[in-house]
Amino acid sequence: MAGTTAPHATLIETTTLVFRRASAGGTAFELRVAPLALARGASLAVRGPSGSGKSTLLALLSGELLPFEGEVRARGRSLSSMSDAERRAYRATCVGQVFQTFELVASLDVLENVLLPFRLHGALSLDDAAHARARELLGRVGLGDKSRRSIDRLSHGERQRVAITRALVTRPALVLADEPTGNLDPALKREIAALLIDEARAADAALVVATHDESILGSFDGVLAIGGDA
Amino acid sequence: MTALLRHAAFLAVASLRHSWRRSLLLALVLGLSLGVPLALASLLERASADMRARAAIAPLVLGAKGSESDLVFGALFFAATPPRGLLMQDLARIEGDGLGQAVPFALGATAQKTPVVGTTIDNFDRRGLRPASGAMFATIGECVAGADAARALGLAPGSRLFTDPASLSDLAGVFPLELTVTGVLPPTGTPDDGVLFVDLRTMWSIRGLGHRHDDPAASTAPGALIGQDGERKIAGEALPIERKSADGIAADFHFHGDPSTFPIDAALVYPADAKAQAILLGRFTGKGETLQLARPDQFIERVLERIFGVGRVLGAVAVATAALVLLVAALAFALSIRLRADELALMRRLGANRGRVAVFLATEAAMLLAIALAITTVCALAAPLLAPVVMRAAAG
Repeated sequence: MAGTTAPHATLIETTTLVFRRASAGGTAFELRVAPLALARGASLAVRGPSGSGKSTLLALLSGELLPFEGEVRARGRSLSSMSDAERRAYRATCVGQVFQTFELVASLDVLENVLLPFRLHGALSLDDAAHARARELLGRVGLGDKSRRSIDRLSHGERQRVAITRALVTRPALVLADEPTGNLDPALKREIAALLIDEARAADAALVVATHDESILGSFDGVLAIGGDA
Repeated sequence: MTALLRHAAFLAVASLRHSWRRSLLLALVLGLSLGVPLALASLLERASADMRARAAIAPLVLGAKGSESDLVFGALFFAATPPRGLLMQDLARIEGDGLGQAVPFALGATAQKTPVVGTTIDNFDRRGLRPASGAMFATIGECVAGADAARALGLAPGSRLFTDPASLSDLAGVFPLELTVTGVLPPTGTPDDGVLFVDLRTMWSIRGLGHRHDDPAASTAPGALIGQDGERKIAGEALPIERKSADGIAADFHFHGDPSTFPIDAALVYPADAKAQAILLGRFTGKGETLQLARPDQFIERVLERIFGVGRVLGAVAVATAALVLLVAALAFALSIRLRADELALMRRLGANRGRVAVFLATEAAMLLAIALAITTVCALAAPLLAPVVMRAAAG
């Protein structure tokens, strides 16, 4: 069943989700997603053409957006029933996010970019364990010797590795990656996709990747097609 | 809360350091725009205090008729050339009937570009000024250095230096005279610190009114010794004029003419009492009078009123400019936040709430402001050091 992954304890489950938004041209955009369930350690690719709503689905799963109809339940609790602060805490502590354009902070070096989530929410503590975790992850993605390097001096592939490390450093239960290979050359795409899946699996995190890159779909436990390709 | 502030400080420092050129420029513009009005006020305050204090050292200043400004600034600040025409004998009009004491000053010479001021020991006795090292000058060719002048020229008791020729065209008539430093005055924070004090007779010698000659018998100059009358040697015109300082030099110096007719530039006048002061002031107001008796306190007040008038205008302009710069800086900071919209949005997406992001930005702004205020403080503290420049400018 597309959208339903491994038979572990369910981490995230949704009913049919409906989200509407007025587009720039004045026509209404509507996203309708069939129910899905995700367990820890599972990976799901969300494929669809540009504008089909892949990023919107990730935002619904992270609690940044709330559905008009249906609900997202994380560990049995509906995100819609949470307060803003609770959803922020959920996002900071339970969700790791990777973005297409890396979204790294230019004024911080590699290590500090990885540690940034600890500075953004009071529920996370920037202690020795956090530093150790960050260094360990940087070593695993091949950036152990570049932890003090400026972001400006990294290649695209290295920047995406930093972004992946940042998404995993807080030991999230759910990793959301929005077109993580979109800005990379073909040789790097498979490498980054494999790295993301391996590291998420090693961290026992559920992984949802929005992509329209057919070449990497085979690496995931499941594929959810939305929009025109559905 | 402590952790939040620690994180905010960390991110602010990182951001300011990353764009250090922009940060520094913004801090400099802010700091200077706030600092200049403060510095101006501080500078005028200090300069006026110094000028009033200096004006208070003598109730009256005597000089030749002419520019009151040149007279007061020349006599008190050594920063102008008083009108010419005052002679030593004119002091008798002050002292002759016991109405007061007049301390003469002769200006216009320099040694290594440092002003040389001719006066008498009375000047120092009046003000309780004694050398911090060495002794007061006692005779022709000796000088006492002000603290700044001694430091600038590396002078100490025993040092020697030549006075400067007045100009290249004077080379044929007035030769440099070698001065021996007998003492160095303590720092006073007044114009006294920047000059070399000599006896009046030394100043007259520098001006060529007094000199000594080589021993005619010892001179090797042809025509230096043209005859002998018993033990007296008769010197010819070719006998060289000795300008070098040496032991016993003063005894050999002689002046051509009556010293009471020798020129001085000004005299500080200390009336015996208020009545004497009133009499003296009246004495120099007659028609055809060639001298003037100025009241330095009143003159300085008039000068300060003019300076403060200009200062008030400048201050108002500076305050308006500062307000404008503050506005522009606020806009620049707002613009820089807009340019970092992606970074701030990322923070929100990763879990930071609006308050936390606001704390981050406020901390960065506070740090920038702190740097600017440090620059402002430096301006305000350093400005009074320029007070002597203001005094010189006022004198000029």
